[in-house]
Amino acid sequence: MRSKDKISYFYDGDVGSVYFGPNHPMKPHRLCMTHHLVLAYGLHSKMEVYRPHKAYPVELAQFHSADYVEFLNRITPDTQHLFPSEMARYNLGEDCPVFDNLFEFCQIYAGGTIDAARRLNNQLCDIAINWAGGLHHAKKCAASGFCYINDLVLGILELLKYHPRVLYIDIDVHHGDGVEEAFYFTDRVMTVSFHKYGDKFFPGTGDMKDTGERDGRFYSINVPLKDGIDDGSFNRLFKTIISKVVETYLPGAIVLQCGADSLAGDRLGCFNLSIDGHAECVRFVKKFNLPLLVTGGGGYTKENVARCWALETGVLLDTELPNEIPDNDYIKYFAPDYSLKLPGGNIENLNSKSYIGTIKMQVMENLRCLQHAPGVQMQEVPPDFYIPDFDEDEQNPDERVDQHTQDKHIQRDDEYYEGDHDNDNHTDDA
Amino acid sequence: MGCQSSKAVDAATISRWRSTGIVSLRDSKLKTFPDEVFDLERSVRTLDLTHNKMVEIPMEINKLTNLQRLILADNIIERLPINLGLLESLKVATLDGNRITNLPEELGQLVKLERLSVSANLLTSLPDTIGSLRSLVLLNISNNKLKFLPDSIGSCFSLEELQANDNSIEELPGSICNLVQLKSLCLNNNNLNRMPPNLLRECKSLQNIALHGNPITMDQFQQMEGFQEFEIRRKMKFDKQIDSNVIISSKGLDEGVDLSATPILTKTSVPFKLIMGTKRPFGKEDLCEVSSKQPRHELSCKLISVLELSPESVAVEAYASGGDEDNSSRIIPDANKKPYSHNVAEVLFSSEKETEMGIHGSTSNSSWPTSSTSEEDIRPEAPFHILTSPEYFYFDHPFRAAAHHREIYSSLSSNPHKMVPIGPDCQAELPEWGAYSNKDKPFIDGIHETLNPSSQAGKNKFAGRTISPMPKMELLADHGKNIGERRVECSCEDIGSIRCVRLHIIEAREILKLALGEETFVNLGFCDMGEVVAEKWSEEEEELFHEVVLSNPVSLGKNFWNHLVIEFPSRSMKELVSYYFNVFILRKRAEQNRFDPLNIDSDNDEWHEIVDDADEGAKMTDEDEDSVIESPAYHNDLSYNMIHEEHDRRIYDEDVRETWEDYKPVSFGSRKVFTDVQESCPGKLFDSNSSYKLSMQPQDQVLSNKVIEQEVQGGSCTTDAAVVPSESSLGKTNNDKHWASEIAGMGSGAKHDSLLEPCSSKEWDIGYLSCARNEVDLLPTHTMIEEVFGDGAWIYKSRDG
Repeated sequence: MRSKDKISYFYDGDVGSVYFGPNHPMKPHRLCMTHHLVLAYGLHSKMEVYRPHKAYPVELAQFHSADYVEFLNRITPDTQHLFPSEMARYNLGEDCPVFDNLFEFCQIYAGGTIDAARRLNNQLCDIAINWAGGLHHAKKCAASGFCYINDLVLGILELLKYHPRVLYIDIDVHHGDGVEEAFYFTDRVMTVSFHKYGDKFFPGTGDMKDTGERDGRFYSINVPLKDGIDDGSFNRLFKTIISKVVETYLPGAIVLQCGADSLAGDRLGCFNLSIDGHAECVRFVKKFNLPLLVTGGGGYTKENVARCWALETGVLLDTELPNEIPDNDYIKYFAPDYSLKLPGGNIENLNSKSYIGTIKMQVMENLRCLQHAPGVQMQEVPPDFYIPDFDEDEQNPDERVDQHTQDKHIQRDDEYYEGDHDNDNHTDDA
Repeated sequence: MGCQSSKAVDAATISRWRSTGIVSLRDSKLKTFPDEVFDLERSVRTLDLTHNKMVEIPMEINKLTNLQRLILADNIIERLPINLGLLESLKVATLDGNRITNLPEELGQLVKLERLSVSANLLTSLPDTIGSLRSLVLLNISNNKLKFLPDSIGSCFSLEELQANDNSIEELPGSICNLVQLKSLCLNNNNLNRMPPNLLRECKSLQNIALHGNPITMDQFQQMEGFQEFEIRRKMKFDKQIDSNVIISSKGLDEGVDLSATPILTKTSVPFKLIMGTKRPFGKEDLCEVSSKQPRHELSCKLISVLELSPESVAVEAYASGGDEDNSSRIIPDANKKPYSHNVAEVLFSSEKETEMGIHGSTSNSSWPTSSTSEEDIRPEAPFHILTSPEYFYFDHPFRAAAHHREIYSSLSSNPHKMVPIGPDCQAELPEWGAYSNKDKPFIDGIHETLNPSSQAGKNKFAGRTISPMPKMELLADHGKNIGERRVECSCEDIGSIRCVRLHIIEAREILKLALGEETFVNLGFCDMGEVVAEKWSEEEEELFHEVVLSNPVSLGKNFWNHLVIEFPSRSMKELVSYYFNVFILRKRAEQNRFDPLNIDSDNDEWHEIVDDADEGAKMTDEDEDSVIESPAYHNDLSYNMIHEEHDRRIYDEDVRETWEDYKPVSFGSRKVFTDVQESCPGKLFDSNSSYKLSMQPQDQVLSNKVIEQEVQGGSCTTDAAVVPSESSLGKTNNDKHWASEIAGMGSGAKHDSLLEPCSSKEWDIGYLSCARNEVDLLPTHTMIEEVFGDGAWIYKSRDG
């Protein structure tokens, strides 16, 4: 069965050819494994596969400070010792080492997410997938938690050119602090992060009480969880919250960060989710039938990452994948059982029913504030037709397309923005 | 986007401005200066334009000759009007969080200026005329790009507090020693190697120095002349505070200088993320604080430390008294906040400023350390007096915890709440809604290069990106079936053997290649994935690679990457990484699957080096260390071994048969398909297993003892894995399942049916034979193992071999 949605999938093999360093848990090779598994299951025949462009520094600077981008571009493992103060200022070195081809790596994964957003914007696809993206910790002026460039923020900024409101959902085991921080003051992006919180777990932010400020007050939702949450409670909580959020917020597009470190058996994570439980979130979000940008994220047991994202690619394609992993060049990585699904873990679940209940109540309470607060009416309403902005690509003027060709392909049979007109009673174009 | 500047300010507002003298236009989305203000001329005493979008301040500002407080924080102002100097009454200028690169020389005319705050701008230098500011009490130039301070700063005789954190200052001018009133000097995160030698001796009021994040060391600092006196003053201050029951932050007794030469690292007190049994520092913790330096953190910490309440109750209290203030939500987290980096001292005085910003009851949550945020955060907790001296900060709270700060700290560190950093260095700048007019061309750039040229054909690159699914699906139909159900409908005699598996992998590749076309196939990355990568490497290179990796184990503190780069000057890092993961690790993984199937962790780069490299058993990784299990353990778990065997036969047949493959090389050579394959992959795929074994154990024959040792370890690792619950349990569950269905009669496996029987019987023999072929002297080995462990053990062993 082929999904009726049109799926764009972004991949560039070069992301897999970087190495963070010995003993560093981040293994970009997992992206090769994921891609290969996707191909092994024949999923490429059901979607469009693209090689993303390498984001130009100026595109990265849409969010990041120019000096930081410049430094990333310039620094190499051989020169890093010459810039101790910059290294410290930009938080490079520890979690975020400088390695060969670092900047190209950033350009590719960020380019993938930006391209994904642009294709969504132009309605060239319904769902865009960039497993290389999802580096949600990166800050405006600093690297953080294995993340250098925050492709999610860049992708969301791109989506904001067309969509009045974008919903960001994060199921990485770590808090999506970089994205939350970037959009902490705005009501045009709602961030919802489900993550482990407490015990000094990285990155330390993500308390339920951090709800955003200024215009963005109540537009940051944090769902702090404890060790060992299992499929059942996670999915129930996820569905309750997300359905309420979508109903309340009426986003024009959704960005879903699928960090696979929330799976059982992850090297850094501490949840009990099975791959099915993880994928259930993806399935659920897909059901809203909104333009959806799906990215990867964390995930430090790489076979499981590949399993998870391949299966989720299948979910997005409405394709059930056989549990037995087909022959492929990496089959040895999937020993001993060579199966796709991964059972949940059996760490003690420290999330008591009452704890989950409290979280749920608090989040709902905040959402209600958003609904009833007179001041938070959605500021902007989308026009009927969205036109993107783009100027930075002077470097590639040849690749522009003429309007007609363009127009032919931006039709679609379903209307995504039905909800947006509910809020068009307020414009402040005074 | 609406903008108030276009709206006429109503008369009532103007008359209120006129009567109060306070013009407050915070958070008004102003892009230009509201002209109405100039009409008020001399009546304006306070002008607050915090958090707008102004780029410029018009020259007409000089009309406001009575202006005493000018607050322009958090705009995007790039330069100040040069006639700023005409604002003769100005006492307070707050310019934090703009984009100012230079202050005008005319600044020096503001002789009444008492507080100047220009933090978080882009200042590269200060004007020399700053020395004329004889009334200046507070100067905050933190978070700029300053490399030095002007000599003239020594003429600001009234200066009591100088905040210059987060710059790149390399040296202080000696004239700073003239500042006899100076009480607090904050220079965290600069580039200071040394201090003016007379600083502590001459600046007799100095009580607080913060020098974290500088190259200067504690030793250097302590050896400065006058250190003892300074230390006494510093302690006196604290004693006084303690005596009078004021609040002291957990950082309050900070010594001001990092104890170690690597400040960033040592500052991280909670900074760990579990990694490979070791811990990985946060690192970023500090940077957050450094970059935004929110004094609130420390304030709230004080509340907690003093009140000894649970964070929750403080929060409630703060919330309650905070009332409906817009930022009450902010207060809650504040109250819970505890600092991670306990030795940052800048907080001591950082909130002592801009009291006027609170006057308006503003709801801003400006992140500037100089803004009212800190004050607002405190306000709900208790009213306090704003004094002019830095000490005002230690407002009257009962100091019940008359304890050393470290105790306070430790009592606080249990449940930290880290704030979301805010400020222009944190939040994204959003594209304005509606800025994209319909007239523009939709841009889809062609930036993505399509990986499916077939989809490109005929149509333009934006149109036909979809792979036309139906034909493709048909083409892939068989293929899809095959890969979906591997090892099922295989007609190979040696079903499940490594050759068989490889054959099918290659068949799958070929079918895909046919279906996709060579170009797409390559574009999709097939040539860069899997052991085919080895095709691009010569055998000598491969051997060298293995050698380099094995001889430089990370566990011994070596980094084989450095050596690889040297040994392979013609290879790019990408190629090296690609080979490492696609060939090296993958092959190791095959080995691992055999040796240690239930304890697999291919993320552990070291697994192999450790076990294979086992010239001595000492080089074991953490996991392995525990698993050097003696024979009894192995013995005890014999039943497990049975499962394991069964499982092995069924699941690992690939690897098992690998040995058989070695044994019967002729059989595959005679196959047509296979011959092709061999041609395309110059024999490497097939030789690889035997060859890498050899390369890893070049002296197998000589080292037969070691082989034994190794095997025992391999076995014991497995045994151990059964005991380790976490990861292995996953595998085990599955094993059990398989086993359960097959234990009754080997060979009755659901899928392999009749084929399984002969295969497995062969395999029992083959283990031995293949070992022989590997020129490993295994006869004594398994005999010995048999003696120790019993028959089962040998069987298991032989397959491993």
